Amino acid sequence: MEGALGAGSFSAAAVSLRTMIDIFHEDSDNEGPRIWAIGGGKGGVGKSVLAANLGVVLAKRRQRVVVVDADLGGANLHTLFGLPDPELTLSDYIDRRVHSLDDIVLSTSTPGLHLVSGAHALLEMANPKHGQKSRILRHIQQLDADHVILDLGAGTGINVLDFFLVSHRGILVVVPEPTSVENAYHFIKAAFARKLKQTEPRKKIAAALEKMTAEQKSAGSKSARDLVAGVMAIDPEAGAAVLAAAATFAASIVVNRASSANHERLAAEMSMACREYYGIGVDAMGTLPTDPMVARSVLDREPVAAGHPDCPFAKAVRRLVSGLKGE
Amino acid sequence: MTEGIRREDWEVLGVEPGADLEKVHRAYHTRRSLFSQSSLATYSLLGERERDEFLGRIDEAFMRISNAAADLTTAALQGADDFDVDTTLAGLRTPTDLVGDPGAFLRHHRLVSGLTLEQVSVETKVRPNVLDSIEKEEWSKLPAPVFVRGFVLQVARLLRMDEPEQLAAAYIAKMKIELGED
Repeated sequence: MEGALGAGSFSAAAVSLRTMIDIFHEDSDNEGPRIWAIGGGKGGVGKSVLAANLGVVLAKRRQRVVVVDADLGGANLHTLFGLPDPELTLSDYIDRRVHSLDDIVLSTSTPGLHLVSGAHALLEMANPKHGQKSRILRHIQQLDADHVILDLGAGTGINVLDFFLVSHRGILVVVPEPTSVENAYHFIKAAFARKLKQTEPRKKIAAALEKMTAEQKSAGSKSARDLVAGVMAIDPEAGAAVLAAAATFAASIVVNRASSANHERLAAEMSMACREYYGIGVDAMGTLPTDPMVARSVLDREPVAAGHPDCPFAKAVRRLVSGLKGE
Repeated sequence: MTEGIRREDWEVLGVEPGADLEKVHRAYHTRRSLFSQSSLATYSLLGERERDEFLGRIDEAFMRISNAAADLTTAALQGADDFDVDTTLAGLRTPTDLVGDPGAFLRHHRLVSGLTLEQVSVETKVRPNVLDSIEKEEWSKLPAPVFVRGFVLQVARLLRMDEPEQLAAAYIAKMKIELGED
């Protein structure tokens, strides 16, 4: 039993499935835009800054890009782009005052780069109803673009997790601090648990998980590896489904505000820990340096990759994107 | 014979079955520090008990592999002709030629003992880079033979090798030949 669930079989399955799913947009027979989601649990780690600059970098590669401010509780992406308070936002769309996302798409100063603002969203908009959420997701998939970048809010609410799980590439932004690392792992565990809830056969999996919890009263949060083994022992069919869910779970870590060699290693180390201890594939996408130009660009209200493409941060974002090609 | 290597031991350390001992060591130390209490990269990922359990698995896997390597060494040194080296353990085989490869011989014994260059350095007061050069037989980087002899003796004694004098003599003999002093 132990051997069959070892690190090798997990990562091999994860890699082969990933290469199938995770190809740079060119090949994907026009089934809609490639969706990126940027989360990470903690606020203030640079999610919006990465979303904006990733958008600029992709647009400069002649890709049509829409950045969606999906931080429904505290949207401010328009400010990073130097745009005035938008008249129409995602909340107008959710409330059906406009009927298509295309009607609320704003142009930015970078050709090919557009923004759907989430500003003015009412507090309750942070938790749209299930029907509203499916409608947003459906329309996102129909946007006329090569890439859609979802800037998710902080936290691990169900809606944040669902946006993350439907994306082609879910990015977790981490800064080299214990609180941020803790939030990232919390996010990963919550996202995997959410994925299990959506995995068929739902009832059998839920029953097996319940039985596991009942049998081991003191058990804390289990690793995916333990979950697979536990469910497999109770119900092989459900176990196989959980194993497949673990193998297809994918997230990417980007370490932001790195300022030392130890920080440079953090993404790779977290990836290794997730694979070997937790039993799911989380890849190290890259590292972004501490760069004073970033703070200045926020004050200047222009993404640093647009205004100062040669600064270290902008170069590092370009490397993130280059690193993905042909993977 | 000590407890044999289990198939999953290699997986726990994330190395190919039969990987050489140096890779096994590197993998072990990487995992030890990654899952240690003070590691930022695993902060909050594991509870205290889970961390202990996981580190225990890593330690046991490493112990079984390095014990098997030590057994191989012993058997080979005793010249057991019928000694059957499992092909998957080829990477763990010892350089047995103490006279021909004294540096590799020393390195293997250090690795089997589970000591890093730094740890040996703390005990012997010989700098890690000098220890490394001794093991790699980088003659031009070494001090005069009289010092090297003392260093090799110290290390061999620390590692509780059987015949430190013989190894030191073999090392110096090779060193002098390589440097053309003989």
